Amino acid sequence: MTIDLNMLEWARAQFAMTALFHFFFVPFTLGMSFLVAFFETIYVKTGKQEWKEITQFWQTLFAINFALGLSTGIIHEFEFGTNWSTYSWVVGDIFGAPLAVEGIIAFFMEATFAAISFFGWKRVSKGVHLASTWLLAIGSNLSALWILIANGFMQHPSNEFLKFDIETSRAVMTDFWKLITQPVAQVKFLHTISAGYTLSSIFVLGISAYYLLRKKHVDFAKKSAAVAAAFGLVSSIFVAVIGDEHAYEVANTQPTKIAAMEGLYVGEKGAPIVAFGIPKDLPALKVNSNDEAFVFKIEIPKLLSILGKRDPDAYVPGLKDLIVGNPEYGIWPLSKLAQIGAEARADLRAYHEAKAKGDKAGMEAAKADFYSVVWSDDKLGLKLTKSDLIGYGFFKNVNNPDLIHPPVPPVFYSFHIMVGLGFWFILLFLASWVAIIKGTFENNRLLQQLAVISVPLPWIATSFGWMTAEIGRQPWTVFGMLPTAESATPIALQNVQATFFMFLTAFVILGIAELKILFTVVKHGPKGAH
Amino acid sequence: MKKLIATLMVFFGSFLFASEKLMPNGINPEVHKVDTTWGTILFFMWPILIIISYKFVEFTLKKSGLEKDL
Repeated sequence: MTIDLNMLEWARAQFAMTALFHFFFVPFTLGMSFLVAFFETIYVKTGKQEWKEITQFWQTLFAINFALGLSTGIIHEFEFGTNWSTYSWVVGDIFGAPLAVEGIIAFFMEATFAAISFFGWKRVSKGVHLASTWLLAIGSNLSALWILIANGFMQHPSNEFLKFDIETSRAVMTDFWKLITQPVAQVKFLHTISAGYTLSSIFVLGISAYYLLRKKHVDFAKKSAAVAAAFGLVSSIFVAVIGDEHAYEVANTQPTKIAAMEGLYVGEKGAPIVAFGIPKDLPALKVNSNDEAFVFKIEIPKLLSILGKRDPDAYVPGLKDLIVGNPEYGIWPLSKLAQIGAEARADLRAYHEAKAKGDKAGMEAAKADFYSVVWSDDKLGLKLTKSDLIGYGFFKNVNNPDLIHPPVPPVFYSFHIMVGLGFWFILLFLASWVAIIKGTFENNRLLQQLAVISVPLPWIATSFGWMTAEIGRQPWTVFGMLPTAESATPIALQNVQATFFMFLTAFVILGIAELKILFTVVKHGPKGAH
Repeated sequence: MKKLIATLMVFFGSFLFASEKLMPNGINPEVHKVDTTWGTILFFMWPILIIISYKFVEFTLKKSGLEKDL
């Protein structure tokens, strides 16, 4: 198959554009659904009309966002078929299963209970309505769970739950339970939803602060801000704690990603974290020390080893080690991995050629070599066969080994901006929560202004988080198994360009419409909402 | 309670004493081996987070005097 590299870049740009646009809505939905459930629970427990008005106002904003998030998500799924059909064909048996469960369980829950929650205020009892609001929130978050299980497989396709089937030339699932409970996926789910809770809490806090600055809807704003500050404080701290566990999983399953995130070209024991720095985009083989890879940097000694390996003196491999190998720690050079991958591809070809000729002995020989063990750990009961390394067989040009890792500067900056903003959110929520408890938030204009200015920041943080995850996984769609360049549909460049601009136009129109409606609702305030 | 502490010690112990010998592609073998128990525990942190968050919201509203009738 021949893929036009231009087409590949356009297909990637289209997917990235759709993902980022879709991701403007997703975290808001994840968090806002629970905030609305909290507001309504307080209304049902107290029986006070003011809490009903608060619930209905925030639910209106949630509903606008929910509709747009759903529609952009569907475009996303279509792109797997139009632009990424090779990917869909090779790993569809694994990737498709969680998406199917999402459709059956989460989508049905969302669709059913959204209707009751949004339109059933006068049609069902208080209890049924409250249950529907909670089930809508749970359904929305379950939707994220199944998508992130699918994404977790792309980040860490462990041969504990899949194998590359020589008969069908596709990856097939061998253990559904391990696929859904693998910590890489679960920690990703927790990190994403808690980031969504933080984002929606900042939104509610910021809009409430805006009303307080203008001395409008004061009682409504004080109560909304209190709920948002409390939820946001718990969530933002949880994001940091689970983010640490997420980093641990990344460090141990995607060594090229963690090395790019920290600009670690040369592996070291007791590796530091770069708190601030400007990395250079250098070919890894030309870097002899990590100092020369930065224009300037401020480091925290040993922290990467502590966070990534739970040991201050642990070795963390750098990008160069992952290309030239490091026998002391068991890492093979890329050239050896590529050679084994190429042999696996040759076995696959030989198997099907023998099958076409009816040569059963040839088929058996190819199959035996395809599944022959190349590495094992008897203590842990782990093994790698040639088939597990088939993806490396696509990296024939080992003279250009930098193709095997993601670009350092975008991954480094995305990660560090996300982390920096995450700490800012904790401080903002903490200061707001203390002021609310003391009863001073209503008159603290500085804090209110900071809350308003901060409204767009979590969208930036979540987008950069997503970019860290997805650019950091490059050059793979499925880490170590399927390269991005081999995942695309071999179609004409013009087709991808045409749909790129079509979607861009649609997203701009939808984005403007969404913002206009949101601003109108916010401007009218709670009483104008219903 | 003792069982819970013992289970947690096994998990954190495995992190602390994970071997430095890596797989050929740089992946840590201890983490490559899918720990379904730890994954399940992680999943159940979600409802716990929601319950704690809601309780903290109620506490905040009461403590601030914004809603006493909860």
